[in-house]
Amino acid sequence: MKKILDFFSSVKLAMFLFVLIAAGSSLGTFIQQHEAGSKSVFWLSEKFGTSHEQMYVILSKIGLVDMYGSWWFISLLTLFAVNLIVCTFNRLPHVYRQLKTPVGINRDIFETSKNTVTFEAPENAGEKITGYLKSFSSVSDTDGSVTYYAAEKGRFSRSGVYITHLGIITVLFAALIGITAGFKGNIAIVEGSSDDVIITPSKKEVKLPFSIQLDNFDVDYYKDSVKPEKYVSDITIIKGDKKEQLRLLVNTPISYDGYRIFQTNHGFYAGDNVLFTLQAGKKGKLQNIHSKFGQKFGIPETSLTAVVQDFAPSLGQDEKGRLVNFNTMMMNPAILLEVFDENDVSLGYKWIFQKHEESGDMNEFQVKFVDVLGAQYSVLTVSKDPGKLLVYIGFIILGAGVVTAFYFRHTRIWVRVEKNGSVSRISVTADRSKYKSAVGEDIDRLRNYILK
Amino acid sequence: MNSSALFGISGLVYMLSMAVYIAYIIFRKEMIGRTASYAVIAAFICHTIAFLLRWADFSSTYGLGFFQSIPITNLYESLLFFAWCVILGNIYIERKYKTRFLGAFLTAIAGMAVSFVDMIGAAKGIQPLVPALKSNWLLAHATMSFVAYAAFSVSFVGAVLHLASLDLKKRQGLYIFWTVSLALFIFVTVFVSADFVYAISARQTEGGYKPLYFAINNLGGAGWAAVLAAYAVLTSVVWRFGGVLGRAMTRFGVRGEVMEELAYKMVSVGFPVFTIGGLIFGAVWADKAWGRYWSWDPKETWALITWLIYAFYLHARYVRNWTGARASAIAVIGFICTIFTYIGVNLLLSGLHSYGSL
Ligand code: HEM
Repeated sequence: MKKILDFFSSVKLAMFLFVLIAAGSSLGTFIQQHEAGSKSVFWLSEKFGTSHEQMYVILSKIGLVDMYGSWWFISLLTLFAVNLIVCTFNRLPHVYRQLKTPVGINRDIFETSKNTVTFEAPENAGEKITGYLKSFSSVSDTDGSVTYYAAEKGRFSRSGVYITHLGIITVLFAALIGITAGFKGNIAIVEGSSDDVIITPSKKEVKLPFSIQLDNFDVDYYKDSVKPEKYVSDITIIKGDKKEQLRLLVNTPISYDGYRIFQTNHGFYAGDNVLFTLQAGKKGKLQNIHSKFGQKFGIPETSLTAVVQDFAPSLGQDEKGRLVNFNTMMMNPAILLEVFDENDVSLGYKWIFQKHEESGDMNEFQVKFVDVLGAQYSVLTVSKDPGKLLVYIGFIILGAGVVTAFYFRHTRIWVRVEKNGSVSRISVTADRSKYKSAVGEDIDRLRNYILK
Repeated sequence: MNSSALFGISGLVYMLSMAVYIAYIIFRKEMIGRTASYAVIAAFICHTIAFLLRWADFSSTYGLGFFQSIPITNLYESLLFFAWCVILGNIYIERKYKTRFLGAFLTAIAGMAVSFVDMIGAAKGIQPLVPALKSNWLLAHATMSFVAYAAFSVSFVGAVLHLASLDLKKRQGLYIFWTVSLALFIFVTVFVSADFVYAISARQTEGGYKPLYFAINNLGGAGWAAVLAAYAVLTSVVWRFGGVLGRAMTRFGVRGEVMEELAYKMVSVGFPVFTIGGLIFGAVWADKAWGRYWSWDPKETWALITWLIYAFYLHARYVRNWTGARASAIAVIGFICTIFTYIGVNLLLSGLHSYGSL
């Protein structure tokens, strides 16, 4: 039993685990997780002469594509947690005693310590010493003409290590709660529609107790730049017959009923239900028109008809002057309009840009592309993590722990004053919990103060 | 005077100071050493003013609050801040340890970082922030991470000097280890700079320069063979003449144990900052922006790996009393991980941290 305890509390095991966990987690950064089509899978399949589907299956079997959730990685983390818990609690009584016991007078330390410094000082040395030790917590004792002092500072810092460890244990425990009792998933909603089923990363569907309707989605870009400045999703959350309108921005998630909702991504989806708002007619006398893909509409006050054949969210020209759609970010939306004469004979095609009105100028009439609804979707992340509060508590403990452990130190000073007429012989020694080689500085500081 | 000109001047002075420090080590003239120290302090003041100017600029350009506009929003700006911290470390060491021996290394790190940025025209302008970066946690997370990286860099210099002081045989594993690491360090800096200069001359920097992107795309098999050969040559030179460093240290009275303790001290300074700023604030930020505090994104994961390596170092040194060569070797490995986390991840792996990906 003792042996098992020793094994689980040993720092050797801890160091072993540091290395294993570090090496293990680095693997997962080279093999892209959850992606059958990733480069590393292709690379490996080439090396081993298998098809990449086969390779993916092999990698899944040995737990490399869901590495951070694989049995071997979880086992390592569990072992690490056990190690840390056993070690910390094993040492707790000892630390408790250390923390509770103030420094005491030690009459022999001046002979046993190799740091002891002895020097002569004028009479008033005693006052000087008590003055210096004011910022310490100190005790003194007198044997006839010899006075002993013992002083210390920062004893509490010895607890820092254990606070740090406790913080890590808390975070690990909270993460466990999050993994077992929480979930998160994405939901993609097209403008104008609503949904209540999220898809988790392991492709499971979870039904929410409310549904989310995307009323509008917008991306604002920095001027003359492809960098987005702001994503905005205006949503309505519908639960029973309660409705609540909310606005989602990046970095300002919404909390609802214990769920958190975030703006994660957005995209372009040109389904059949995309509704275009156009204005068409003779110049100066335009009328509003709503139309869908392939739906013919008459151009007012002419005998012509037209139809929206295509839609491009970011149309531009490449270096050879060809029209290309650069991305799906709605940076320069345009529609392709086909126009027919009264006999239904096609007169040709024309791209009309939302942001460039002149593109819709024809000889006898004009078409303006005003807006498009239902072509964008917003991806929201919905998560529920009952361990989150505890994680934050763990963070605070861990942060307090490292600060205590590293930015404070326990310093102890022992002084002996032997009065001998008008001079005193003073011996000083000290000890500190870290950077022991610099103990001389603590001693020098006191000596210089006395001799000043 | 605008901030980028001032950054440029300080970077140039750091580079020149490196040369002066090296001259100081070769000729051992107090005067030369003092010149280097004063030059560095002057450049540091210049650097600080530039930083504040840019900060003010940023604040007025975007109309953001004071704390949201600290100019550490992309790789370039972060390099400038990192260099600033390294120089601060250099000034501290000169006062505290009364030696100018480390100056040559620390100004080299800082000078590379600053002048590398300075040459990049595109980066000088203030760039817009992507939405996920508009957060107060950015300030805390990024700033503290770079402070920690700087502390780890200083610890790397201490650890290498400690290993150099040990008078090891050329065939010993540890000797090979530190010379190869030092060569790798020098090589990566030179290679990235060369790549950059080449990219500039080929006018490939429009829209921002991506380190090594050019090399990776344009070097053919022969090119890579040449690069590897250059690395091999450099390594063998460092390996052959590594002993010189130890002997120079002896002449300057720079003791190996002191360097070892410096390495430990710097890890001790960096570790809490990294724990709080790098890991905890990073997690909080991720939670705010992406809805989860940990997602095993490559950048996050590498930060964790770095953290674990330094935890290993601290336990080895503090609990199991590893001092000496083994501890310093771990500190060197820790620094290699740090650099990989800082730059390598952005270049070689993909992930959510668009921040830093240029
Ligand atoms: C990532 C996880 C861990 C972190 C961040 C951590 C942090 C620390 C820190 C900061 C110290 C103080 C070192 C110094 O002051 O230089 C320390 C000491 C120590 N750690 Fe850990 N630790 C971790 C895991 C572990 C584990 C798993 C064990 C299990 C055996 C362990 C055992 C110890 C022991 C025995 C000490 C010395 C305590 C003393 O001297 O009273 N640590 N740890």
